[in-house]
Amino acid sequence: MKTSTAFPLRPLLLSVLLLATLSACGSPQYVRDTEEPRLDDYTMSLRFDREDLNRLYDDNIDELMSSSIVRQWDRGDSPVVAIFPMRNETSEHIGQQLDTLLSKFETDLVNQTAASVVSWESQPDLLNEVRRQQSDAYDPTRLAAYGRQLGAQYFVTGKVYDVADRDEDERRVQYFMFVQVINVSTGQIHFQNESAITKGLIR
Amino acid sequence: MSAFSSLTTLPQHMLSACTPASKFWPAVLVAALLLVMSGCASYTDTLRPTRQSLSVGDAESAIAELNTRLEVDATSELPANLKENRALFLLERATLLQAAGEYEQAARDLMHVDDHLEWVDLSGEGAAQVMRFIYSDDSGGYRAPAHERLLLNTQNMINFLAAGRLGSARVEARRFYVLARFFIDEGTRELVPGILGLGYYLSGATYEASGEYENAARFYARAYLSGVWPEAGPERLEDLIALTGYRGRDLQDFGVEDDHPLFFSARSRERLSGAEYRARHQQGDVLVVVQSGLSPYRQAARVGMDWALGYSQYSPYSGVYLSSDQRRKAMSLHASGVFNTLNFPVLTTEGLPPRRQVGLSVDGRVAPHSARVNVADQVHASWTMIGATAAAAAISRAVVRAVAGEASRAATDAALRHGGTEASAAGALGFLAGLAVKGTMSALDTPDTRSWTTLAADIDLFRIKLPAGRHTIAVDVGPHDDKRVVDVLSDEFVLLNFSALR
Repeated sequence: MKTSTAFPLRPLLLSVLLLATLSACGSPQYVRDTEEPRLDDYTMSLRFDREDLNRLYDDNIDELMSSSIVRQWDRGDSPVVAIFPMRNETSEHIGQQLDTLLSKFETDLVNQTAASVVSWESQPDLLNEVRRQQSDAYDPTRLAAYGRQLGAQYFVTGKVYDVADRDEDERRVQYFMFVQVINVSTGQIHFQNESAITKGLIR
Repeated sequence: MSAFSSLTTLPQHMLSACTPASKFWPAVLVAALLLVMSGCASYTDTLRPTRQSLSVGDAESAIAELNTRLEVDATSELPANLKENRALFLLERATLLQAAGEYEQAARDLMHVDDHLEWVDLSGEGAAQVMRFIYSDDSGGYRAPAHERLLLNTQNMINFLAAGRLGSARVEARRFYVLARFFIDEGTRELVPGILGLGYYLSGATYEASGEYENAARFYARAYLSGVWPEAGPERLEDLIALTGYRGRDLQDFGVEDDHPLFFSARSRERLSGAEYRARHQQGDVLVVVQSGLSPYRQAARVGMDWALGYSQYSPYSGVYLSSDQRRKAMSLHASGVFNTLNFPVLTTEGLPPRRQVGLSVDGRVAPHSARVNVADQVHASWTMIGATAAAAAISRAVVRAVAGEASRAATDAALRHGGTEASAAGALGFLAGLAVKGTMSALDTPDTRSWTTLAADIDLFRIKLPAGRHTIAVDVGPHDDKRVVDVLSDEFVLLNFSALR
């Protein structure tokens, strides 16, 4: 029996060329949402993205705007309301996203209610104090002190908790958000709404 | 039929499926390609200039070197992706940025890595991953062992506490605890007790500074039971227990019962108020962290088969890869001289600075108490568990290789005995193919030398209480010293990190 000693080089070379071409196609490129309409649909991390913030905003804003305390503000003297940082009690670094969410609430409170909204962000000393001791943000005595400094009667704020699980390479984070309106002088909670979001990394 | 005996049939299948000439050429080419690839610098070689710069205290050059590896122009930039070991380069850069006091940038790097770093559990099914972990080619994703994974969040707690960002430090404490729970099985906890204890202690300090005393008690209790406690006695913890009424019911993994002395003595005390606790423990409260030396790193080495056979028995999971049949066969092949060495990653301290005692003085007075976390020993312990399993896997592969090579040589001999020109050519190809099979598998066994190489060998903790005012904190580590001036104003917690003293 004759045996061929010729090795089939052509298919191999073609395969190499194809792989090289494919690898070139795989190089990253920057895109904007008008070029890739589904860009905002992709989940890129376990933290909050715009889609999550929109969901949380939708879950809360209607409840807040139709709450008895906001109706009361609209009926009487317009109170001074301060937006206070949300407390992040989760295992994810979502502080900045929570600030974004509060800014959205702030916009609606300014534009759609009788409240006079003051910003603690414009007061550097208070800002530093809040950042340094954010964990004490819910200490009523401190809240009252911050309130007096701002001349605020109410705080709009909140807190976020999570239940985080890992199993081998998979991760899941269940978020629970509570948005609150607190009376500065009494510490009484006049409004509270809960919303939930789950994000995961699955294989 | 044993796994080993089934493997011996491999060359016969190959012979029957292909013509003699065509069947081995791909293997020869692949072997050649792999041998060329194996000439590339390993991770250890790549990081050598960085380690050398760090060893002589030139952090700037070390960071610049890493920026080149990360393909970025400045430390303010993150790499475009974490492929090709960039996750590890970023870990290394974060360590150096922390040493340079750039805590925000160090924290950003670690947070970025944290989102993408996978890890290897040493227990149960994790053992089955070790083969892929150790013997994957170097371009595959890096999988961190338990000590590195736990230290990532621990180091970031140091960054955030040093930067005074309590909220972010609490996030890291929670992330640390989620992982600690993941690694909490008996085997892993025994390997890294100090690293777990360090994470627990820093978590306790974070919650204590945040005014969350119940959580502080939980984590301090774990640190204390892990042996990481830088104070003379447990009064801080006992007072926390008295303040919160914490009973340690979540400490089952430490075998704590109700009659544990810690809780027994705390129960007999009067309940403490928050104000009393703050006055007693949080006025002028300073935690000094000193990171010194460099942990051992991995290096490719040819090790003797005797050593490898003995070493593989250190891991309870080695049986996943090396059955008793295979072990017998390996010993028999070794005795007959078929294979004597194995290409294998080993830990080394070559070129690293010696381990040194750390001293701390405050305004010229020596601080009497400290807790030392011996990271280097735990890197060794963690690596022994992984490495011993990997050694078993490598031996198993070497046995297959030897058998495949022997079978190919047998085919060659048979062809040559048959005689004739074509038979000789086929025989020669068979001989080359035998080498190729061995060479290919040998090249696939390129040891992965990746690890977090800029980790300190020792982390010393000093907890000191200072009166209000300005103080000078001085640290000496052998021939090196460093000092900082700190203003103590109130009950604000201060963490000082010294980690440039390598």
